[in-house]
Amino acid sequence: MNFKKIKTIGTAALAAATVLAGCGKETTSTAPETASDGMREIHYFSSRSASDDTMVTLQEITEAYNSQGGNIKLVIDSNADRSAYDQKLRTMIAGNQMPDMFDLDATPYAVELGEQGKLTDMDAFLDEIGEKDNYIPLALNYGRTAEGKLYTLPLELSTEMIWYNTDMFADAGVEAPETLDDLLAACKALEEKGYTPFGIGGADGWPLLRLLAAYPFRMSGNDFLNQLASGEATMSDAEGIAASEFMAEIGQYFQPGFTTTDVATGLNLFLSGKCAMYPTGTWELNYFTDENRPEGLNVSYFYMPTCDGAVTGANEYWAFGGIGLAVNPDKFDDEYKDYLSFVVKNYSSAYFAHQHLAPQKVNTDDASDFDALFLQVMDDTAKIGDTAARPWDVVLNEDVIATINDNLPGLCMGEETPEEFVDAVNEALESNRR
Amino acid sequence: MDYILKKRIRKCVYWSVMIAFLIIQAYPIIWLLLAAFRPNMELLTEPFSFPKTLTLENFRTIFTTSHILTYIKNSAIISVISLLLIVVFSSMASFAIAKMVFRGKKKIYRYFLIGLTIPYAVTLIPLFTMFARIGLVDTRLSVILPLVAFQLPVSIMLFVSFYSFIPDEIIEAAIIDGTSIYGIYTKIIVPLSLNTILTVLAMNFITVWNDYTFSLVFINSTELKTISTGLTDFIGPRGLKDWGATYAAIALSILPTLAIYFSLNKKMTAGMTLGAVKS
Amino acid sequence: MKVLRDKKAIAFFLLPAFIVYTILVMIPIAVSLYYSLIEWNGLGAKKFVGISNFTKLFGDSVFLRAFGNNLVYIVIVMTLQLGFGFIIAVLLTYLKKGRGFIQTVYYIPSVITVIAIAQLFTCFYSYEPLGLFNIFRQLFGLEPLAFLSEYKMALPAVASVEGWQYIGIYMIIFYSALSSVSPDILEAARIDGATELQLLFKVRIPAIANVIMLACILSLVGALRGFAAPMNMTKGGPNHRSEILATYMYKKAFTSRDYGYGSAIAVVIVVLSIIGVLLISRYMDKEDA
Repeated sequence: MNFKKIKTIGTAALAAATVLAGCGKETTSTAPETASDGMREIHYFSSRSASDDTMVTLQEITEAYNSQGGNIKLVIDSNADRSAYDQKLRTMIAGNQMPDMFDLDATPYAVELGEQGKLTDMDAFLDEIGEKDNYIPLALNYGRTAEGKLYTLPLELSTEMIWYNTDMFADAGVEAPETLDDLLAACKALEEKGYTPFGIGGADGWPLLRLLAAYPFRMSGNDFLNQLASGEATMSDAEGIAASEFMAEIGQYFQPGFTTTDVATGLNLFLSGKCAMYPTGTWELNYFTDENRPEGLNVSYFYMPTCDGAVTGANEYWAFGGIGLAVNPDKFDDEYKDYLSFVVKNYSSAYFAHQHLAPQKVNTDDASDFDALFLQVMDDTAKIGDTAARPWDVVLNEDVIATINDNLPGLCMGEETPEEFVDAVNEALESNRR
Repeated sequence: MDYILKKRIRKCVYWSVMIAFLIIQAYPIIWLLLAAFRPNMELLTEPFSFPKTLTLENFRTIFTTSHILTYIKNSAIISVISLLLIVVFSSMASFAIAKMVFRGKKKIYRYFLIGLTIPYAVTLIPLFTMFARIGLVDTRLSVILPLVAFQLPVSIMLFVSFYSFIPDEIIEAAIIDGTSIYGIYTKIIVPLSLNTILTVLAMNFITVWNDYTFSLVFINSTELKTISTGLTDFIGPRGLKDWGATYAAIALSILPTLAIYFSLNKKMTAGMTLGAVKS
Repeated sequence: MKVLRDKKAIAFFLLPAFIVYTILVMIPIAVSLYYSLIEWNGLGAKKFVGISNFTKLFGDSVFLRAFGNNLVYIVIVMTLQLGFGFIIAVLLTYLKKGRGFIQTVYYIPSVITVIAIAQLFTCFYSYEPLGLFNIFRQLFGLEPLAFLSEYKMALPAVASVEGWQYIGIYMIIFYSALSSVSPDILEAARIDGATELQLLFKVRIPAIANVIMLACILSLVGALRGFAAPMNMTKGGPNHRSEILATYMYKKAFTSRDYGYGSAIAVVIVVLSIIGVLLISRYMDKEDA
């Protein structure tokens, strides 16, 4: 009677919950997943939003693959909030739930994963399908770990530059800086004219890290960075001191409150004529074209300034393949392999058609209707030197980067001295020695 | 004369304080809803000027570039199931705690109350490992179960304090009439506590609908994502965010909460005080 | 009565909640306790290290700062929630018309997701483009301030957000307690010539002392659980100036992948929370007596 009624309701509720929640799903097996329509599903956990052109291109290629008899469904699950993405990926892997395909930088974390055999060796894969030489070396090598292992495939080719407002520069009587000293002098002149010299999106860690890395890269290429990672160097070495002092100087020219300025707001500061310089990369290129730029805003750009006694050339600066594509080796069977080699063979020309620099060599003949600015940057990229600057957040351990990100704003605002900054970084380096 | 003047001044001060508070509490929300209709550019340049143009462009963006309707559907499914389980489980347990007789009753109650204060983040890694082992990751159940578990303490607290108002005599009379214990629960307790059930539903709906942590960590698939995690869909490369679209999505996500709140606000606020004030 | 002692029935009513709660809340906490004794980076082998994670806590200047910040955070949150909540509640008791409307509006922020609120206030605090607070500062002839970047301002700025959001809840708790104070007593005191302020301190506050106590505990526990506002606005920065225990735990476990150390911080939070619960239940026992 009543008891039964409750029981029935309770059971019904539980059953409903179970059915609706689809709890019967078995995820621990390594067998490939097949969708209801009989297609092989490949789950790609991505750090780019699904509307990003890299993702759009991958879907286009998957369609092309299937129209040639392939049977793959690429399921893209993305989280474009980068810190949330990193956290989630690590949690998934810690719980033995590595996605079939995912985004990964060549960080110390990737090294650890690789050492445990949890990543597919892309050198071997590319050799096997004979595609390695088609990659632009700096794009491909960006994905190499400190030990030279390659676990990821690049999907982009990006360079980073600093944009400047030519009218403000002319008004302050300065030109595009060639050296880092010139840059500081330009900032000073601009400030005296009442301009905010430097707009920067400091809420995302990377823009500040790029400036910090400028002196070390000019003084010793990537050596200092690699030695920091391996423990052969400390932040108290000449490069580290120079970097810290530079940040303390240039920090006073940032817009107030830069630590919580997101990059969209930073970009807008520049586009609305509220600051004279803004560092960014080619992924924001279409905001600066003649067609899209606000009227009356005259801009130009320069690459990473150099310094006296620099060992890297002016044509060597930030250039990389973007966060790369990694593959779960447990799922990498023949079908998956066939699909991925099709992607590798067709990706770059399709991506280039969206007006982006591609990581592989592509035929650029039919690019005549592309935007002039894009062609100009493409031309710069063709002349780039052999050594590309490596981002610090890829090479150093996460905890060290967290410490740098925590302390850098204080250094820039003059709340911390370069000595205090150096000590904090050294302490983090010390406590993270393996 | 002097008295009247004083009274007027007092009244004036009183109303200016009340209205000031009104503005402090309401303005941010109105701004938030309005931002959904403003162009991205205007939000980046002069967010606090009087809106010059209102547009539906942001909504067009969120409906075309993201699966926002799927996210809303998922949030709704998760909310309904969770609420159902929360109400059933907590009212049953509270009935035992408040009206039945057994040893360690108080200890059990206290045991549930511990959960009131535990931050979600503490349990994420153990839960993830557990769910991964039994194949629950990336299912709706992986969000529903922890939400239910974490909402049980506050719901039990509300039910227990409400049940303590129900006179024992009613139950005793029913027992003498030969009603079984299950009958007492379904025929007496549940009908009497309909209002409390609404209160518990309304309060829990807010938390469940707004959940971010569990769906972020346990859900991977786009087709199972909830609205609060879907807000990151409008971040472009290197953190370049479309603010207009983000605000439009936020506005869309808070509409159900506002609707529930406005239709049930008496119940909700009653719940707040029921737990706190026993008079 | 025998029916009320029916063990089977007790189990039937109690077990579903008990099992779900135990498996999904209590066991994970126990597992956290175990994790706090190991060293694990989310990959490979877990290494048992005894209590060394805990001893490390006391030498960790960031942890100590987060602990100190958490105390400041609690004080700010409690002051705003209890102070403003109480003042508005008292004022409301003098209101004859439109009380429902005002209550409704005051309560709205409490029902909105904290992610939206954090986003909103980041914008309000902003320096460039000029946020609302800085527009006000300028009106008063003050220099604009980068609230969330200033070492001294960041913590109060994020704490105020959480404080502000839940003022409505405390207002309603206080209001219903105040309105339960018998009007006859108040009227009698008024006839005796007591001023409104005297009434407040001599009659009303003593009458609702219990509720004030409970509100304090609720607010304290809420502030101890605080996480989303600082995490979404400043990520604990600049340089840990707005770091609190929960954000630090989260960053250690998930950003730095030091699960053992993160869990040790979690254990500290749980211990503090349990102390909070003991306070609550002690209050309730007193109430029952």
